[in-house]
This record gives sequence, structure tokens and C-alpha cells, in this order.
Amino acid sequence: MKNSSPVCMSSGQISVIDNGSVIPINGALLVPPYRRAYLVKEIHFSCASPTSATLLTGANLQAAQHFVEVQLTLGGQKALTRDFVPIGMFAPTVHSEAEFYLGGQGQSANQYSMWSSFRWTFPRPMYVQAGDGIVPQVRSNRLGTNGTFLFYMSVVGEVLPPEAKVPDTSCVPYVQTYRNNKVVASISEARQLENPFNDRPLYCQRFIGRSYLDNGNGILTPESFPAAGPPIIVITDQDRFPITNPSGVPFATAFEQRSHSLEHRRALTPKQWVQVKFLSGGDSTRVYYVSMIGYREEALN
Amino acid sequence: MQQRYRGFGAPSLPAHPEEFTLVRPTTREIIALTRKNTPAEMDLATSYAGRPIHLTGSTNINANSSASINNQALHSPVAGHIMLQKFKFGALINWPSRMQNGDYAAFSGGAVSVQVQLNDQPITKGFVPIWNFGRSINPINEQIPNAVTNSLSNVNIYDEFDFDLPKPMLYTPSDQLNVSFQHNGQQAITATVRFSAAGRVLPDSFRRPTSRHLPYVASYTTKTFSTALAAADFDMSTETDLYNATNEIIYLQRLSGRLNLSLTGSYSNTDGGSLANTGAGITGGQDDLSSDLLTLTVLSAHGDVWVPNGATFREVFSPVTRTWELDNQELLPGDYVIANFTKAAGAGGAAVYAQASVALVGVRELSV
Repeated sequence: MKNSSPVCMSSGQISVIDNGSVIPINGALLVPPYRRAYLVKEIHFSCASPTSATLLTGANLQAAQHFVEVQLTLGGQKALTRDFVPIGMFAPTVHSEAEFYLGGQGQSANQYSMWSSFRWTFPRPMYVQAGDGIVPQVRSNRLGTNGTFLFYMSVVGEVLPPEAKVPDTSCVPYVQTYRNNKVVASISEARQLENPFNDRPLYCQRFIGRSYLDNGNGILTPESFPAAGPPIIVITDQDRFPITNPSGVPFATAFEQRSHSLEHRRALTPKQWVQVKFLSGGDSTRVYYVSMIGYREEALN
Repeated sequence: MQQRYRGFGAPSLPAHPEEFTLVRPTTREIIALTRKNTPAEMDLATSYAGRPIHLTGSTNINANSSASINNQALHSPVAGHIMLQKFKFGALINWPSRMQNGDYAAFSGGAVSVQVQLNDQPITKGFVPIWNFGRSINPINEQIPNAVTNSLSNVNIYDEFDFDLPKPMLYTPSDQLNVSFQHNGQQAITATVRFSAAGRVLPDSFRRPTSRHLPYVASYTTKTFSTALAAADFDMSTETDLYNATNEIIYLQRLSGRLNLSLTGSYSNTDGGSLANTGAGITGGQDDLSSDLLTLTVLSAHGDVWVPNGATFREVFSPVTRTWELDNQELLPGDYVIANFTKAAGAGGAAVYAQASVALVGVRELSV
């Protein structure tokens, strides 16, 4: 190999049973062949809802991405996520219609699936040493009621030539999520959106906010707000420095509804945290997620 | 505390990740190491102060035939030099009404191909489907259904696919773009096709570039896969399909992947309508069903595995842009890429016909 080469590595099809069990993914499939160092630039998640009648009837847009969560580490040691994060909470929306689309292979009538597709472009390319790789686990969060999800994950990047300089550090992304699960007024806890590292800053790129209506039958409708409008939220940092207007901002205003994101671009000092507070307007049928996406530097040996 | 607050929702500190002072540009060093002497690093502005210009020409083509755009329509009408920034390919087809149903109307991007040359230099390697050049911003907006309805049973649909050139292309008064379209014959319907080249006339004071950046596009279109076939099936490009047939290095901008589909039978969709019954053959282009229909592996001529293990078509090619951006990957003269398509064994069942087309899109540099 004389030059660098692009690479797109797929996990292959993973069946995620809706019983909450954690399913490991063969990490060897997500490491480039020929044992070279590489840069990871993107991770793609694709997920198909079960082809059951319950999930497919009606005009509701099915939010398969809400049911499936992943936990990612680099080499099983360096965390890319805090615990499990829904696959829709990693990246802004580029085109909402392309996030959900009809899929299937032409089975019998009405037996097709609704696909979700999300592309997470890393804040900065992540340098990965030869032989190392992303180790993912996936699970259903059991908010659904039945069926098996088909899940694919692919790692996209660039395999480096052997003579490429090894950097001192690598920028490793980090994603964490807070969930307001059908609570009218709630507040995130100190450790739910924080810089968990003792000795380095966490560079927060953005927040992602999404909402869903849970009708209790395992069907979630995204982008759903109560008749009275979106709940009012306040986001502050540990020092009560306001990230949103301190008197409150509608959820749909804080997180632009085209992209679902709130750009932040600010460093969090070690152990500094961010707080999301729902002042009012939540209800007992809707689920709200807020995630914080950033990265930190990790020393390379 | 109020003194620190700088306004509604406004972060107070660095405005851009690059401004994080504690970040050392480590990965950028690596990227710089692997990105030497690419056209992207050459200092040629992408916009010019000159006035805009739009060259265009159209022609009609029948099924299974080809036709060229009148050269005079694409000849430079000005005395000065032009920097072309965008190519646009359009096709207006009067489809039978059964081809049109809401958002699932037939796309003509896979039904019409184009060959482009500048003087004696190829811009495409043979004919390339017109939807395989550019990066889609919104696939739905590539199509204008019901542009004109000229009868109760037929409907005109206009598709347009834009190609932002990787680098602006110098076009002098002595140059000539030669453009030919080909109707792939999947439906016996005449198409009106249009080619446009848009750019800027360089001001007289602008120093004439000493080199010219020519786009280069090579494509491969698979055979027709059918889900009615229970057995596994595959197809593979050859060494002369996705191939650098020039004497210069091609800096790849992207791989573009599209899937042409047609269905038989009626399928309910989430809009409450039904997908078009197009009969056997490839006419459609509503490619959402490609999600798990085909898997793809890609290898380079040097044995580099670009896509190992078989990724689904839409894992490789974004559902939004239909592309995989490659960031100036080099393709040396004579180098090629092999794309291998596989349909898994299945139960058979109702037929979905699919034909994938993949293209290399890049740029090379020629001295003027």
C-alpha cells in the first residue's frame, strides 16, 4: 500500500430482539484488514423495524431508532459513549425524510419494514492504532412491544500508509444522553451530562434534542409535542451559566427542528457538568431525549 | 452572573472547535501527510468576480438510441475565458400514468446516460447515468412531477441532477464541449434531455491559469437483480469499468451509488397510496427498498479493501446524498476499483427488480 485508502467496514446484519438483552457485535469486522493504523471519520447506523403488522399499520412514522441503543468503546477501554445511547442521538438531522424510509425485500403485501439511517460524523477524525478498533454492543431498550430489529453499523474512515506519522494523542469522541421519560417537570442529574474525565477537558460540540409520543402500544411517533406546545426547558452549566435563556426556552426552539441540534462549541473542565431542566409542559405520554456530543484527547502509547 | 450572559442561547467561549486552544492539531498532521500536492491545495479560487454565464442545449432521444447536443449551443459566446463551475443534466419524460404515484414517481436518472468530452479529452468514460455525477442535496427535489400534464393518462416528469465540479474548469473560446445522451431503452418512451454548463466569465484582469482541472467520471451498471429469484445472485465490475483511463492522477471526489428499482404488484406505503406497478423491467428509481436488497464490497487495484465484508448499499452510499465522499483519494493512471454486488438467498416472493449503478467521480489536472 503506497497511499492511504478509504474504508467502510460493516458489522453485517445484527438481529436485536426486543427483550432488553445486550448483543455484542463482532468488532473484528470493524477493523481494517492488513493491520494498519487508520482514521475513523464517521459511524453509520441503520435499523429496520420489525415487519409485524402492529408496527406497520397506520400512517405513523415509526421511530425504530428510538428502540435501539449502542454502547461504543475503543478497544474495550476508552469509552465513546456513556452507557447505551439511542442511535438517533449522535448526530444532527441532515434530511428528515432520509432518516426514515420504506425498506424490505418485497415480501408479502404489507410485510415491509421502516428503516432509520443515521450518520455520525466525528467532531475530529479519530486516530486508531493498528489492530485496535471500535467495540460496539447493541440492545433494545424495551420500549417496543414485539419483534426483532435488523441493525447494521458501519465504520467509515481512512487506512493510513505505513510511513504515516504516529501522533501523540488521538481525539476520541464522547456521547452521553439524558432522558425525560414521561415526566412533567424534571431535571438531569449531575453525572448525566458531564465531563467525566479527571485530567482533561471535554470539548462539547453540540447537544441533540428529540421528542417522541409513546402511545403505549409500542409505537413511537417522533417530533410530537402536546397540544399546548413544546415543554419549556433551561440548559445551564455547573456554574449556572445559561446556555439557553434562563427564563426558559421551548424545547423545539432550543433544538432547531430541522437539525434537532443546539451547537455549543465550548470546553468543559474536568468534572464540570451541564444541567437540563424541564420547567413545565412535559406530559405523561411523551419521551424527551437530550444528548451531549464532544471529544477529548487520549494519549497514544 | 448576569454580566457573563451574552444573549439568548449564545455560548460565550470559542466559536469553532478549531479555536479550542488546548487542542493540538495532531490528526491534521496525519491528514496533511497523506494529502500532498492535491488539486485542493492549489490556490485557485472557486468563485470569480466575473459575470455569470449559462450554456445550455437540448435534444430528443428515442429508446435504445443516442443523440448529441448541438455543439454551437455549448460553444463559448464570449471572447474571454470562462470558468465552468457546474454541469446540469435534465430529462423530461412523458411517462404513462402508471409510472407516477405521489413521491414514488419514476426517476429518469438511471434511464438516460451521458457522455461528455472537452475537445479530445474525456470527461466521462463512455456513457454514465445522469444521476451518478453529483451529490444530491435532497433526492426528492431532484424531480418535478406533474411538470406538465398533456393528457389524462400520461404525465410529464422532469428530473434534474446537478454536478458541482470538483474544481472550476477553464473553458476558452477555442474549446468545445461535446455532449451525447443515450436512452437506455428500459421504456419505449421518447425523452427530451438537456445539458447545461454554468460558470463565470473571467475578468480581463484575471491572470489566466496555467493548468486546467478536468472532471473525470467512470461508472458501472449491474445486471438486473430480482427478489423473485430465491437463490443468491451476484454481479461484479471489471478492471475496465471503474477505471482511470487517462494519463494523469485522478483525485477522487466521491463514489456515487444509485439503485434503479421497479416493482410488480401493489404495495401499500406509509402515505396510504400504492407503489407503481411498472411491470417487468427497470424503470423506477425509488430506491429506498435497496436498504437490504444488495450488499457491496469494493477493492482497489492494489489490493486495498475499501469495503470489506459486504456492506448494504445504503451503508456505503448515504440515503441523503447517494454518495461516499472520498476526500481526494488518488487513483493512478491505469488503476481501477472493483465493485462486487451480492443479493442474498431469500424465499423468493413478489418481484422487486433492481439495477445498481456506481460511479467514480474525480478530477485531474492538465496543463493548458
